Amino acid sequence: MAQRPLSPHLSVYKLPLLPLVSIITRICAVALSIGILVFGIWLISLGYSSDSLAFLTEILVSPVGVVLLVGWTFAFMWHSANGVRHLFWDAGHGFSLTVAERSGYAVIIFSVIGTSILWSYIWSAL
Amino acid sequence: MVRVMKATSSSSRRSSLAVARGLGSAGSGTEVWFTQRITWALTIILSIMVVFLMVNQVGNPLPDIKSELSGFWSSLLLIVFVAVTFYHYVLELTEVIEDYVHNRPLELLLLLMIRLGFAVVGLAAIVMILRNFLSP
Repeated sequence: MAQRPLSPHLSVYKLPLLPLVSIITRICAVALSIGILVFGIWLISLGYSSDSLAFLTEILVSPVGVVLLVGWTFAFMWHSANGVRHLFWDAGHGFSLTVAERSGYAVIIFSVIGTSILWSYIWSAL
Repeated sequence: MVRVMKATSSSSRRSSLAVARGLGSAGSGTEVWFTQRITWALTIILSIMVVFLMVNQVGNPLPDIKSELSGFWSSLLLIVFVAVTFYHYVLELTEVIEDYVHNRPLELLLLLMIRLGFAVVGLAAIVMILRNFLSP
């Protein structure tokens, strides 16, 4: 392929709501796939030995671990909400710009509120 | 050769290059798309159940959590959860890799590695959930 300069459209392009929600969903998906592997490894330690379980849990409840867990919770809420949105689209509903933007805002609000509620519950249960 | 002749005579709208490459409708193709949607719905339902299961353990000492998760229903839920979600995330990452990795050998290597990685961790997790169930 010839190395020609690209038009500078990406650097001057203001990302509208819909593509922004879409790309964040993808980022959440990649983050969650790492999270699910970590949970898988935690489940392995559950049956492997009490020492390995204690070791991994110690890491996960450290400040860095908790930040990661909150991030994965947010990614889970976002990805699930947007997944439901996609299932509606696949069934042929909600394609108009107004409805799609409203459901996009709904995804943002749901993931912020959902993460806050879940973690305030976890905090109170500690 | 016979097939090419047939294709040429039956679909005159396809270019001769398209006919020679033999590409076109395979007569099927919605299976992957449909399976993805099924795993989406299952993944959401199972994940919510597992989140509730795990959040219920918060604040308990580890030995209690270990024995709590060794019950029949917890073990069953965790095994089905791992099987479905790991499959789901392989599909998910496959889509991302196919969209953004344009170097074909690297793309194939990544597709192979995520399959291997998720299969190993997923199977090991299922084996260890079973072990915890059998000898809590």
